[in-house]
Amino acid sequence: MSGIESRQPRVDAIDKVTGRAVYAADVRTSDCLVALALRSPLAPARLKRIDVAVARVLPGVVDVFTHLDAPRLDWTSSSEIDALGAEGLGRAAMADSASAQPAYRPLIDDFIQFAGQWIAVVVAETIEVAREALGHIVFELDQLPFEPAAAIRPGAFFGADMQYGFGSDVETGPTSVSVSANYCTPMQLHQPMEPTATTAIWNDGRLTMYDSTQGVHATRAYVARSLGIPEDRVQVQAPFVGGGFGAKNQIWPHQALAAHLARALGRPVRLQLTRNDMAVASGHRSGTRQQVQLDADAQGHLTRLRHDSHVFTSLHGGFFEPCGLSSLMLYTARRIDVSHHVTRLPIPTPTPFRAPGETPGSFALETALDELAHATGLDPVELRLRNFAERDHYHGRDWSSNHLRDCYRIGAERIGWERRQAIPRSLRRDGCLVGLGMATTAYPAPALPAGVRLVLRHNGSLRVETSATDIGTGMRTLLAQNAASNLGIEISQISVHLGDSDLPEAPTAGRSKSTASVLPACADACRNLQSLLDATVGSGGTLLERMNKSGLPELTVEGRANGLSAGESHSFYSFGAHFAEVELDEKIGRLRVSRVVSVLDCGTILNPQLAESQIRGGVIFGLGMALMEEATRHPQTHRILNDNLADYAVPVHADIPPIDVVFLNKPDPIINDFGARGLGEIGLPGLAAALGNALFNATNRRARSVPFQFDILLGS
Amino acid sequence: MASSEWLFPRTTKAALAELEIPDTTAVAGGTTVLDLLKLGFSSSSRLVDLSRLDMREIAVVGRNLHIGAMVTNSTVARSDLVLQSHPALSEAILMGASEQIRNAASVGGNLMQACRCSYFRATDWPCNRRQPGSGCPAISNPMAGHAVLGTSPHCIATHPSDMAVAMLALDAMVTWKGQDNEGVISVSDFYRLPGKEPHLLSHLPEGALITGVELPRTRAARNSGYLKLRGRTSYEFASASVAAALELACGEVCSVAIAFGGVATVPWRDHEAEATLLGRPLSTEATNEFLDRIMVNADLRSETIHKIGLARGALHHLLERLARS
Repeated sequence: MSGIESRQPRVDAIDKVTGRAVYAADVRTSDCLVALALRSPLAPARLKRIDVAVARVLPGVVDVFTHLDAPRLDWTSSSEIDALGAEGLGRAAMADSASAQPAYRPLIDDFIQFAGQWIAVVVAETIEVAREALGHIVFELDQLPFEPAAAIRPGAFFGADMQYGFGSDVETGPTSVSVSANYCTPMQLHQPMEPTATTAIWNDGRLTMYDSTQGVHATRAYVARSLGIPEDRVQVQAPFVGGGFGAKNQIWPHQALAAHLARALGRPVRLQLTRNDMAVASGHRSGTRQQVQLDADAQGHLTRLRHDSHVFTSLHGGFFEPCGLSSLMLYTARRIDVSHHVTRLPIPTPTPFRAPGETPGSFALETALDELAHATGLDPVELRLRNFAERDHYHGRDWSSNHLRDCYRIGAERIGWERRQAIPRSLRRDGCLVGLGMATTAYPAPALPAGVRLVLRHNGSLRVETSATDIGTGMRTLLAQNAASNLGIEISQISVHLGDSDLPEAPTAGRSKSTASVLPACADACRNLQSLLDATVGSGGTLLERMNKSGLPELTVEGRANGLSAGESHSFYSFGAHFAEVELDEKIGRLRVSRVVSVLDCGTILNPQLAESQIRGGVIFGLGMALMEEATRHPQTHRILNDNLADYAVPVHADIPPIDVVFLNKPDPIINDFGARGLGEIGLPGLAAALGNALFNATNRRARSVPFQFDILLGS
Repeated sequence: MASSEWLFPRTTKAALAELEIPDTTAVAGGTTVLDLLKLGFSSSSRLVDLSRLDMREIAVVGRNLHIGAMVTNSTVARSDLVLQSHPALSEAILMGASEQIRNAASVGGNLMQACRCSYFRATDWPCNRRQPGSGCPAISNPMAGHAVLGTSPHCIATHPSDMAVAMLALDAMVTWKGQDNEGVISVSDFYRLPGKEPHLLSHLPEGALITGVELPRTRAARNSGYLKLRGRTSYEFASASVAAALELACGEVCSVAIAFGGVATVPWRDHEAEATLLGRPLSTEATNEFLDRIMVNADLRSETIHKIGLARGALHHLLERLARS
């Protein structure tokens, strides 16, 4: 297909950088109120007393809501609604009694489940007044004692067995080398550039919501039920989303709260999460402690892979980091044991965060493999090649396509792997120790059913419509490119309308599935449009000529794609390899990542410019995880200490090295007509391990926790 | 955040008269005051904006380099006069904050900036510095950024300034004016240790304004530098930093000044320890002994113990650089 695989710049880039793009909090209506929340500083606790009298009478304050006002909000609550919300994800796997409790909603009762929980919401004419009013609310909390109960061993999650023993009854054979260690990864915060906001506007019993969400249909389903009204009376719009990374993937009760407030007050309400709210009210990646044991025979073939993960969730939530996902299928071993142990804490519910499970899991697994390579004397690349999984043994299926070995080879060439010395501390440059490291990355490539509508006007202009969101991935651009190339028209003739629940349904933008779900539907719509024109005016001529010939004011067609189902005969994964070089001045503990080479096998690349940007973003996430990102919790109050971007460090430009992104660009022959798999997350797994492995090569000191600590970075 | 009355005096005299009135706060570049207001700190009802005042000169006056209190941090860092005679000051400023903040922040305001302790900045924690007598959660739960020197049972917040650390090593004097008086305080006497009253930042008299700083133009100051270590490459406060001015004669130290940042509740310098370096060649042993002496009473926690190694590494690194030049 011509036009596709082109470096088309983002069609909405100018709108975004000039402020023309309207985000959820930018929507202005004449009488819109602003809602801001007051957070509990500790948990678990009972709210003993709350006095909002002074706040309520402040000029400009319209109303103040606490749990005592719950009836005025008129929430509908049911286990069905809970299953649609963020706390519902994983509850089926947990299957404990807490998972059967009603899910968390703010302002319902006096029990404080987590620090940061909203105990009052001020609704005011302006944000300044709302903020001032929060300062006038007086409250008293009784902190409750807390002892964690025994860890839960959840069942299947993300379609995979969380307590898995493969070949546990077979002899593993002779083991000549064994490594076993504990690995720790930190709590991390999503903090996308655009903080979450919802603007809720009622009109004649119908609700329009401008919401910062990765999925407008999922939001509509939850909010309509919460309000107790049919879905067709709710429209959710998210034409632009300023990043999500998972924080806007699940549906949180505050999204519905905006609509409940607007209904109770009879005026539009904009509910705005602050940076501090973003650290608690829309999830986080929980910290993990993982133990990995690798046994190998004299040739470096894995005889046993054991991966036990200890992770956390909230008092009633279900989500936990499924760290063992990659260990189930990425390498061949005679015996594989994977377990997960989940402890409930009085904390906000964690949620998927870019490559959940694989990101912390790959740090442990890929570091352990480096330890095994060192122990066996094998090159880390060679060790991985010897344990390459020719097929997906876990699911008992062939890969749709897997060129991981090419990723290793090309990555090694590009980074200059032959410079690497097996003996650590062998390379130096300008007084710094230099090390090289690598790791594998892999991520599933799912696709769900999706629809796309095309509206062709008599003047030849085309509207492309779907509910899919563009959370910074470039979906708007990909759709314009796809329609342009299929219909032989210019991109300037095309407008793409996204993120509207009134448009044909497409899946939530998460788990690297949007491209593989939505683009085939767009191609189908283009085919349907050509067929319709063929039937109406016959073939031949340009699109505009044919449209003129038809004499119609406009033509509308829809296209659909069914995506992939659980019963597919192949396993669909993207693969890749990260290679990294680091420089360390160990006298002052100054670590610089000097170069990253990431080679990816994601099938056909539809737009290299957008795709490289996705991978670079993932690599920078991994660099942040390895070098600096760590949210910490106050042990007595369970409150996040660095719930803001002044105290929670993410990489700045000066931290980011040259990132060499290489795509194999080999079509996946099975997944879809394009041969394209998703790539939104695969840039992140393995990256922190590649950096830690490079750090070991530089120093002979093994980093088994991230972010790297000064005891590893400082020489003695 | 309450609305305030903003005043724009055009002379120092007028500004001082405004500051006489109770419940008034001076605003220089605003990078601390406005930041704290946005965080929910209670505001004075009157804010006196100093931006119209004529304190913007950098000039050689006698044996000193004079820098006006309202000169922006960016202007100081790029000044040829500063680069010539006090390079550590330029290096320190450029290691701090971001270009946008440096463009707004002033010399006087930088000296008076508030600490960055997370418990201090979030107004719903107890904090002896923000609310005297309310307690200090950092004592029982310190974070990696807390201080190991100059701590008290009431506060362990680290002093955040890079600029002040360089000024301390450069023997800077702070000049001030009050309604009816004026005076000079050396930077080494300027800051108060937190002690029992951590809310008291400095010895600047109540109601007085900093008018400028005077930096002696010495041979050692010309051979000065600053090294800052932190978790990310830019836009972060110091995990540990060191400013030093060094003069060698025939391979022996004849003048040395060393100040530390990121490790103490105030910019930290120990003249007695410096004296042990005088008259000797600069050696690894001598430098280590000096640092051991600085850190002998350090208040170390598992969260902050890495600062010793960082300060030691930074010190060696910087002194080796200055000894080469």
